[in-house]
Amino acid sequence: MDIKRRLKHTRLWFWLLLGSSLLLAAFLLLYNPNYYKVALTGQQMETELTRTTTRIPGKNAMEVAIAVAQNSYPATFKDNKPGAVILVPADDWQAAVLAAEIIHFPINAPILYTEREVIPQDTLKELKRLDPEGNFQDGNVKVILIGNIGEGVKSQLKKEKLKFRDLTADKTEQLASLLDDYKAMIHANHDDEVIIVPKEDPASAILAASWVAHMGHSIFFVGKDSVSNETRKSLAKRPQDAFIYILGSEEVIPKKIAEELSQYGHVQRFPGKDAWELAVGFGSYIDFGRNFGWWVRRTPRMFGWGIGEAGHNFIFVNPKYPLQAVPAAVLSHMGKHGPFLLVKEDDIPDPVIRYLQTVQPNFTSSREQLFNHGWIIGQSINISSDVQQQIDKLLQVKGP
Amino acid sequence: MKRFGLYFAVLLIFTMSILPLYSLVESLRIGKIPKEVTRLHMSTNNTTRVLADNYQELQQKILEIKNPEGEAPDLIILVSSENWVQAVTATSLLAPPINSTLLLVDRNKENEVLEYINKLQPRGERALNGAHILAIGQTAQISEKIKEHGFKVKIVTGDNATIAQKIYDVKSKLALRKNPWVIIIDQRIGHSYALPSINWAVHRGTPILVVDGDKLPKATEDSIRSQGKQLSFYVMASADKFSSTVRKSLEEFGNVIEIGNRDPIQNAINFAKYYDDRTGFGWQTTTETVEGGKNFLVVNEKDWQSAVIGSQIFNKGLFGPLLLTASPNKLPVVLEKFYFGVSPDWWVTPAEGPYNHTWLLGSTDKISYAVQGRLNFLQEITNYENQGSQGISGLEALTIVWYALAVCGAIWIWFHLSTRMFQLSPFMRVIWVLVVLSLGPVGLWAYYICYRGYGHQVALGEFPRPLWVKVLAATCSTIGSGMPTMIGTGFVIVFLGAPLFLNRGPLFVLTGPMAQTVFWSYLAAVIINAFIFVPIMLAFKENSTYWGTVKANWLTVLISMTAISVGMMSTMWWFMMEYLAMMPEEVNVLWWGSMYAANIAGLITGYIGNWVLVIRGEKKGTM
Repeated sequence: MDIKRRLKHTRLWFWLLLGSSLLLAAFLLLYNPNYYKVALTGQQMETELTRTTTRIPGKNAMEVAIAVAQNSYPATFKDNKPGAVILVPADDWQAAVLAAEIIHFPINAPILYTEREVIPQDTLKELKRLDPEGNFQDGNVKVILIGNIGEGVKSQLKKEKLKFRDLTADKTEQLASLLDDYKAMIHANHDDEVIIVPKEDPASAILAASWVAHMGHSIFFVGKDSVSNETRKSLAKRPQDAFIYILGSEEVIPKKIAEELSQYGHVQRFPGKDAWELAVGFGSYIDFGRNFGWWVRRTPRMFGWGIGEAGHNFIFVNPKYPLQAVPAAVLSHMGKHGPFLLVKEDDIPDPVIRYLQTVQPNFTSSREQLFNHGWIIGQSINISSDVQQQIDKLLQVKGP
Repeated sequence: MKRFGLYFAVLLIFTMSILPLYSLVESLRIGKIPKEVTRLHMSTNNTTRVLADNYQELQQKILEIKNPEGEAPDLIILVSSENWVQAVTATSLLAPPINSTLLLVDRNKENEVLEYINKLQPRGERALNGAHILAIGQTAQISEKIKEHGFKVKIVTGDNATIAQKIYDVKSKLALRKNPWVIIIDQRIGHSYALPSINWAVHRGTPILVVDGDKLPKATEDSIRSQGKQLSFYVMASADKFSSTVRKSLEEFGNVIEIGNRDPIQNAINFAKYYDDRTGFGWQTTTETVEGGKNFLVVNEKDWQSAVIGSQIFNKGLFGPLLLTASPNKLPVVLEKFYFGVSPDWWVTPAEGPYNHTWLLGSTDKISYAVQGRLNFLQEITNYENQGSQGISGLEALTIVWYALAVCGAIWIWFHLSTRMFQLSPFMRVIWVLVVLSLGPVGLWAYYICYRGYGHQVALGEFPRPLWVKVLAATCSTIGSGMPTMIGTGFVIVFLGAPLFLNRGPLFVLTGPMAQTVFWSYLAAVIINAFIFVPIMLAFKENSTYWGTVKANWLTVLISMTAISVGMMSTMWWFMMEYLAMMPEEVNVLWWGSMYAANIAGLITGYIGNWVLVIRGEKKGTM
């Protein structure tokens, strides 16, 4: 067999291939991206630090939202940028709570506040710093508008050449259903687990934000006397019975409502007679069981933080300022995922103290120790330095 | 037509061989980044920075954290800011149960020190006869002034080794020590080798003793001898840098272990990783201990003052190893590797923790913001299965190996085809190259099975195969053009951002991004195959017009492609939507991993569909 003759007509190809593979290999070996290009300018705020807590400051809700986004997304290279940015009207805490639903992957977006007709300078500046990558599950949109946002903002975004998804609705219930459907498009399914929160009690309702930022479930608002039609329709969209978790004491979501909701699936209520206890109740609550499936395969469901041991993170917010609290939900989306805990300006309620004592780490070893950590949201007029110090003591490792 | 088909096939080859590399490079890319940014504050999810322009300012900030209002220390230790040896040895006095605070004292800055002492109001350490202040070395000069303010001062002076000895004595008085640990530092080789020991000393109170190059100072020897038991000496230097004569004299009193490395950065990492399972000494920051959270203190190696000051808050309630960086603008490669190695994973939910956290000291001149951003990223908790972006998980490693096998296989098969298989139509050859690129080693196996032992039949271009091989060949002919087309189309769609047509009705799934990607990919594959590949392939065999061939074969193509898609698309769907906790993008290596898995499933379902076609004579499977 005359292999030389046969190889003749491929000789050129052989050299070409060899050359290009060597070039490629060299490129890959020498490819050394410089992740340290960006520099910081300007003056930064002093933040109050303790061993286990960090304060994320901000004069108002808008600034807190920016500060939180900066905490989660350093944006020093592609992989620590967000996928998109969510814009919410700065006076609508209910829309903000709902917006937390789409923080989760694959969207991967922080919440920033805007005015209804114009994007404020600071927010726009932060939006540019974040420079979102685009949501690859929705035509690479970079901004998602939530709540009742006017044409002014939209034309501003067009001018900035930022592609956006418009998820605006007039009423909170409509918005909840819209977001539920939007997420269903991405996941090709309406998630069976839903959280019901009270319309009139922000302190309870904001607790849902950190959970959905972590897991992406849907939130629905209910009033004291009735469940709206939109909510009913959405609940009925689950492929089977829903698993409905009520985040509110009987005072804000009466028994009657819970019973009404049970038409749409299995209802459970988080423990706690007021919002302070509810936060702790949610933090330690976990519900396992069956979920969607057929015959040979049924996926399990797991719902609730279920934190009863050391090694976790908590986000401390003052429920008097719901608009400040909600954007901090991003902190349970990346980094140290953890629940909201509620504190007052100058006092930690007893249930929270007891809970923190339960989960406080004890010194075990220098090489494999569990640590707790806490974020303090807002300035010292929102949560005082004294409270921060107390929290720090409760989070630190006890001993040796 | 033929020419177009050939170009298209080359495009597909390009898709399957180059695009995975593009994804790999893209997943490491930096992206478009502005030169400068502004921020409101300096914290990130996994890092904390104590902002300060110099160590004096840092000292003030650290004291605010360590001794907030109302929390006075029992003892204040004064050390000169000009002598690193004394400062490092003094850190062992900061460990619990002693409640002390260390101040670095600058020359001629007595007033500031007094201010601090007055502010902190030390309560007096009982074991030192109620002394409020322990003045070490040079700082003894200001003791008179302090005494005037009504504080009791204890003075410790002498050369470095003597001071270390005296600190050891004080330490023995203050706290009972049961373990045999002693840290040895060499004052000749510089502070950067000794620094990592301070975070351990402030936490566990392990005494630090000093040697001087080739000399074992008398004071050090005395203090070792006075212990009257076998000790374990942990030397903060590499074996080749540590004097052998000193080693010999130390061996008399116990075990000598050199932990360090010639490179100060690696030296710190070695110490962080070290663990002596006989005595329990060491952090053991390795994958063995991922059940615990990790805290790190990162300082610039030149800045020992900041390191000593900052280490104080790592004494209790929070503790962990000290790591060093060299340049302010870049994280050393070894450190990056170390961080990647110990980054936390999650198995059930990312809320399970534990989490890692790093403290940085000083301004961005010491450690830049970009380094902080990188550190934040390196410590992010990631899903075990995909290890986050830039991490290489087991699945990703498999994908890369599979890709390499596919490309090598394709090159080999191409040479084989062009030297041995003359009678195969050029188009058929390209198809086989694409089959191997799609199916990797499985494709090679299929090629071997289809042509093995038919050497004398090559001239005819038709192969009398058994039925099951006929079906395999028929399946491969659809796979070769179908799969790369689907993958290429899918890639382009995700690259542009998958379309989402908001639809609130019951058929919402169909207009969602995933279903749209599946649909368009499938459609493209059917069209390309029915209108381009099959007519060209068959044109060599049958005397028929172009449209005639299309008409005669479109149904066969549709059935064959559908059979393949059923397995391929459902596997891809399951892999991306269910199995992987994080849905991969086209620039993730795992996107290709999902595709390779889907291709194998497509081969299986395609085989079933083609079996029917071959039996019914719609397809021949002899080419």
